[in-house]
This record gives sequence, structure tokens and C-alpha cells, in this order.
Amino acid sequence: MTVELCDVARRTLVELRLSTAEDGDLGNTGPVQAALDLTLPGPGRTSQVGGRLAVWLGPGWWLLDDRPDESGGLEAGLVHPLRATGPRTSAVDVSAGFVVLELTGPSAAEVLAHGCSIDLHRRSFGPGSSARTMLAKAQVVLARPDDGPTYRIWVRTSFSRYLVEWLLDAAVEYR
Amino acid sequence: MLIPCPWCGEREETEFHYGGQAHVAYPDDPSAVDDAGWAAYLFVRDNSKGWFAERWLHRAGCQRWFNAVRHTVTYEIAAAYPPGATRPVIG
Ligand SMILES: [Zn+2]
Repeated sequence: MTVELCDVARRTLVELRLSTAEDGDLGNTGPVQAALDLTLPGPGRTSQVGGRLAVWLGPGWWLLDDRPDESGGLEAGLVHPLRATGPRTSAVDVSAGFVVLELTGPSAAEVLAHGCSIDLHRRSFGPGSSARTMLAKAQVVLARPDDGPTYRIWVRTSFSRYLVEWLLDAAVEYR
Repeated sequence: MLIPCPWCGEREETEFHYGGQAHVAYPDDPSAVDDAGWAAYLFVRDNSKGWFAERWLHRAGCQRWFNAVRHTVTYEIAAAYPPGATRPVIG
């Protein structure tokens, strides 16, 4: 089997908004980055530490993906750092809003390419790349966090069954 | 058609939402504008053949509005820039 799809269960997801960083200047976001223990990535990039992943979604806008934690600790731990960072900031737990999928294997990029218009070749979507884009007409966040041929996909819960069925169908010829 | 988002780079046209003519300024003194003036502000737009500055929303990507200068005959896009920036001189 050259491609495998799995459901990454119960991840903690938080959407982070920092109006102070909209122009790309992360100078005053130190308290938030210190609380997360990672560097917030720039356009089209991801960064990670341990099991925690940050994905750039737009100017001043990130998705945080962390280990399962029912206590809401990630969101709560950002309240004070956000206050120290400036006005119009937010961290909202969106764990229930998305299903997290992982497509792995030598043919993973080819399967995705059946329904995704961005160039997934290593030269333009290498390790540490991310994109908020469309996959099979569904709105997704797509990332390739590290060197392996593994793509992580965040999709709205209501679109997840459709997208999983589409991925399984697209992968048939690669089994 | 690929549209160059100022933040995300070139993306497929289907990721974007069209927003009509750019740089249409809100009236300085709204209370002084008569019905004909409001109608012109709200509904009357240029219909130029050639370079045209227009608004686009990167709906499926960074969800930001920006402006682009597009050629209405060839669909070539000469510039894309954040809202608030002045229109670049093309040609
Ligand atoms: Zn964009």
C-alpha cells in the first residue's frame, strides 16, 4: 500500500488572532510565543515543538494543533499572554469544529493533486509548508509539517464524511 | 486563471470572490449627497476596456480583501496590493 489515510483523533485546536502581527511584524508577540514555546510561522509555513503545531492561515491568524486535552488548557493559557500583547487579540478553541486527517505514503501528494489546485511538488510545498485552500471543493487547511510524505488536513466537521469518502475513492488506484 | 494574493501568492481563481471596482471613495459629506448622487455612488461603475483596478477577496485562503489591476480583455493581472495602498501605475 503506497498511501494510507488516518483520523487523528481528539486534537486540541485553537484559532489565534493577533491584530498586532497583521503586517508580519512579530516583534510584540513575544508573550504569546513564549507561552506556546514555539515561533509563530510566517506566510505558507508551519512550526512545531513536541506534539504542538502552529499553522499560518493569514496575516495575524494561526491555527494551533496540540495533543488531546479536555481541560481547555491551551486556550486558557493564552489569556494573559494575549492581554500583554495588545488589543484585538483572540484565542478560540475550535476543536469540535474540525476533523483532523492524515494522508501518508509515497503517493499521498498524487492523491491530493486529484482535487487540489496548489502545486504539491516538494520544490514548492516542501517540509514546513501549509496552505488554507480547497480540496475536492471542500475548504481545508493543508500542511506538510516535516520531511516525511505525510500531509495533515483540517476539514470542517460537516464536510469530513464527504472528504473522507472522496479521499478513499481517489486513493483506490494507488493501493 | 491564477490570481496573486498579496499574502498567499498565486492561487486558483475559484478560491476568490469578486468585489467590483476598487478605489470607490465613500462620500466626504454623506448628508449633502442627493438621490442621484447616492445612486451613482452605489451602482454606477466604470466599464473600461483595458486595465481595471478591482477588489478581490481571498475567500478560501487568508480571507483578506485586496486590490488587483487586471486587463479586462486579456485577463492579465499586472499588480495586486493591499487595500489602502495607492494604485500602481501600469503601462
Ligand atoms: Zn490570501
